[in-house]
Amino acid sequence: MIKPVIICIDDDQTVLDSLMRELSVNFGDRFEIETAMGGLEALELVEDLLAEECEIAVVIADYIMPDMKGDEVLKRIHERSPNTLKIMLTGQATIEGVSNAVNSAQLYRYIAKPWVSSQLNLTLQEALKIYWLEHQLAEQNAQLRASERRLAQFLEAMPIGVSVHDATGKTTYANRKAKELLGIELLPESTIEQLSPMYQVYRTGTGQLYPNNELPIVRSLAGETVRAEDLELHQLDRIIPLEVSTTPISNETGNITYAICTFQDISDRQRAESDRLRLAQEREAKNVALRMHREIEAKNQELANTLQQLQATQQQLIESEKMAALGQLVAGVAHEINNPIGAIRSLAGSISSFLSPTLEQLPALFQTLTEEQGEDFRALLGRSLHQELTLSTKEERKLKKALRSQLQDLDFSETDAESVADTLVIMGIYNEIDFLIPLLTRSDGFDVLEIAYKLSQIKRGMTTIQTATERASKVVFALKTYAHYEHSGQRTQANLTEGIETVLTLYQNQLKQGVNVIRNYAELPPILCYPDELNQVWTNLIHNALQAMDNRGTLTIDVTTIDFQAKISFTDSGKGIPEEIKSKIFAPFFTTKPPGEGSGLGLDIVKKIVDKHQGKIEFESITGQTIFNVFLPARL
Amino acid sequence: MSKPVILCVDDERMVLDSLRMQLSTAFGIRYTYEGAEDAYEALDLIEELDGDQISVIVIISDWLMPGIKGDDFLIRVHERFPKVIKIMLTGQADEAAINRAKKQANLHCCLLKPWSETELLETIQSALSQL
Repeated sequence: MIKPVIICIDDDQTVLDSLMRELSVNFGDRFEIETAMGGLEALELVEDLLAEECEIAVVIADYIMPDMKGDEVLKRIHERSPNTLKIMLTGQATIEGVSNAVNSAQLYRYIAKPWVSSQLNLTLQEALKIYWLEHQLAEQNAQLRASERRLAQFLEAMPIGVSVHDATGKTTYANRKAKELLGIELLPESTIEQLSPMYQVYRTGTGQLYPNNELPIVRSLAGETVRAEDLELHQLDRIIPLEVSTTPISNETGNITYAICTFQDISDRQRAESDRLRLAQEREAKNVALRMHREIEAKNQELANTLQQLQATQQQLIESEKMAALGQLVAGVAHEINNPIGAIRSLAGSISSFLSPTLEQLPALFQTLTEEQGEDFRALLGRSLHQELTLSTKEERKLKKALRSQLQDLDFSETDAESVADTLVIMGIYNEIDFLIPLLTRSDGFDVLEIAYKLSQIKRGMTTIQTATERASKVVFALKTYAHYEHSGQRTQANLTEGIETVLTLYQNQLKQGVNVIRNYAELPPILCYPDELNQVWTNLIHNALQAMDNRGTLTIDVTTIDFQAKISFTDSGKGIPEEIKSKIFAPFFTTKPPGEGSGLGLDIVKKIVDKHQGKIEFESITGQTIFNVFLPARL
Repeated sequence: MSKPVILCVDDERMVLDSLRMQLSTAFGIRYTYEGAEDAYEALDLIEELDGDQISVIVIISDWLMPGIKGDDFLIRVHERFPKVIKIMLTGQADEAAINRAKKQANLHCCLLKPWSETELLETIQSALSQL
C-alpha cells in the first residue's frame, strides 16, 4: 500500500530538514514525507507522484520562494490535485498572498514561521483527518455511485417492468422493460388522472379503460399496497395482460413521496393456465369419449343381434308369403289335377267295361267277315286310331250334320244316319266313308260298327289316360317345385324358361278362363341363381298380371338377352297402375286390395329377390298395357 | 219328336269326351249326347236345338270355365228353360257359387271331380225319374 504523501516545499534546506524530521516522527508511519526545493521542483514532484498514482494528502509550502511564489505553487498544485490540503508556512506573507492562496488554492491553513511544533502537529493532524475524511467520503461516494449504477443495471435488466411515480403521479423512473411494456421511449409528463388513457390501461375482459381511482399506483400513492391481475395494456398490435404490484414509499415524516410499481406480462402464465385447463378438459373429453365408445359398442352389438333376428324374420316372411301365394293357388291347382284324374277314372271305367265283351265278340266277328270286309274293318280301325286331330265340339257338330245328310243320301234312315254319324265322328272319322258302306249295309252292320267303336275307344282311351297322367304329374311337379325350400342358400344353374313354365302350369286354371298366353322365349343359357326364389318372382308378377286383367286378356312373356343380362318381361292387357301409386308399389305392406286380401309384401319380396341376384326390376304402365321388366345378370 | 239331349259343358276336352262315353254307355240310344266347351257355345246350342224342337233335359256343367262361370250359365239356362235338370260337376267347390246356383237355377246337385260313375248315374237317374 502506497502511503499517502506529505510534501514540504521551501527554498531553505534547513527548513525542509526540520520539517522532515518533525513530520517523520509524527506521521512517518502513515505517510511518506517528501521535500522539494522550490516551486518548480515541487510541481515536478507532484507530477511524478500523480503519475505513480500516489495520493498527495498535504502540501506545506513556503510563501517566499525564488522561482515561484508559494500561493502560485499551491494554486497549481490545487489544479492538479484538488483534494490535497494546502498549508502555507511562511514568515513573510502578505495579505494578498494569503488571500490569493485561500481564493484560488483553497488554502487550508496558514502557519507563521517560526512555527511551534505542537501547533504544526495539531494542524497537520487535523488537516490529515480532514483529508482522510474527504478521502473516505469520496470513496464512499464512488461506492455509492457504483452501487447506484449496479442497481440501475439490475433494474434495467429485470424482465419485470418497474416504474416509480411521485405523489403527483408523474412517472419519475421506468426501467427498460417497463418502457417496452408501456410502449414508450421517453417518460411522459402526466398527471394521475391521465395514467389510464396515456398508457392505455384497460380492465381485463371489459374493453374499458381502467378506472383511475382503482389503479394500483393511485391506490399506493394513497398508502395501499396493492396486487392486481385484472389489468391489460392495449398496444397497437396486441393486448398484454399484467400482474401488477405497487407499494408506497414514504419519507421520514411518514408522507408518501413515491410509489413503486412492478408489473409483468403474464400472457405466458395465462397461456400455461389455459393449456393446463385445456389438457384437463381434453383428458375429461377422452374419458367421456371412451365411455361413449363402450356404450356405442354395446349398442352395436345389440343392433347386430336385432339385425340378425330381422333377417331371419324376413326370410320367414318370404317363405310364408310364398306359402300364402301357394294357398291361393291351391284351389285352382286342385282343379287342374282333378280334371285329368276325373277323366282317367271315367276312361278306365269305360275301358274296363268295354274290354271283356269286345274280346268275346271279336273272334266271332272275324269269322263272319269276308276278306274284303276284314280289310275294311282294319281300315276303319286304322282311320280311327290314326286320327290325331282334335276338333272343337262346334266343328264336330258341323261335320256330324254333313255326315248325317251324306248317310241319308245313302238311304239310311234318319235315326240310323244320326246314330252312325254320331259314332263315326266320335271315332274321329269325319268323311270319305265310302269304304265303310259294305260293312254298314250288312245286317249286323251296326254291331260291327259298335265293336269297332269300342276297340277304338279302348285304344284312344288309353292314350287319353296317358295324356291325363302327364298333365296331372306336371301339375304335381309344378306344385312340388314351387313349394320346394332350398336350405343350402347356394346358387345353382337353372333354366329360367322352365321356371316360368312351371308357374304357368300352376296358373293353368286362371289362364283357361280367357287369357291368351303369348310366349317369346329366346335361347337362354342356364343362369346361376336361386331358382326357387325366382319362381316366387314369376308367380307374383304373373299373379298380379292376371288379377289386373281379371283373368281375361293377353299375357305376353318375353325372354331375351341384352348385354350379358337376361331380360324377362311380363306384359298384361289389364287396367294398369294409376300414376299416383306408381312410386309406392314396391313398398312393403303397400297393397291395393281390401284388408285381409293379400299381405302387400308381394312386390317388396320380388324386389328383394331381384336385388339378391344383383338384378333390376322396372315397369311402365298405361291402361291396357303394363310391362314389368326383370333384368338378371347372366354372368355372376 | 227327336230324342232329348243330355248336354255336357266343360272346357276340358278329356272330361267332356269321357263323360259322354260314360253316359252313352249307360243310357244308350235313349238320348243324344252333346258337348260344349264353354257356356256361350252351350247357350247357342240349346237355342239351336230348341229351334229344331229338340229339348235338352239334363245339363252337366263344370263351374270354372272361360267366359261366364258355371253358376251364371245355369242361372241363365234356368231363366229360359226352367225344367232342365242342372247338375254341376266341378273340380273346385266354391260354396257361394253353388248356393247361388241352387237358389237361382234350381241346381239339382253338385258333384266333385273326380266323380264316381255310380254317383253320377244315380243322380241323373233320380232326377230323370222325377220328371
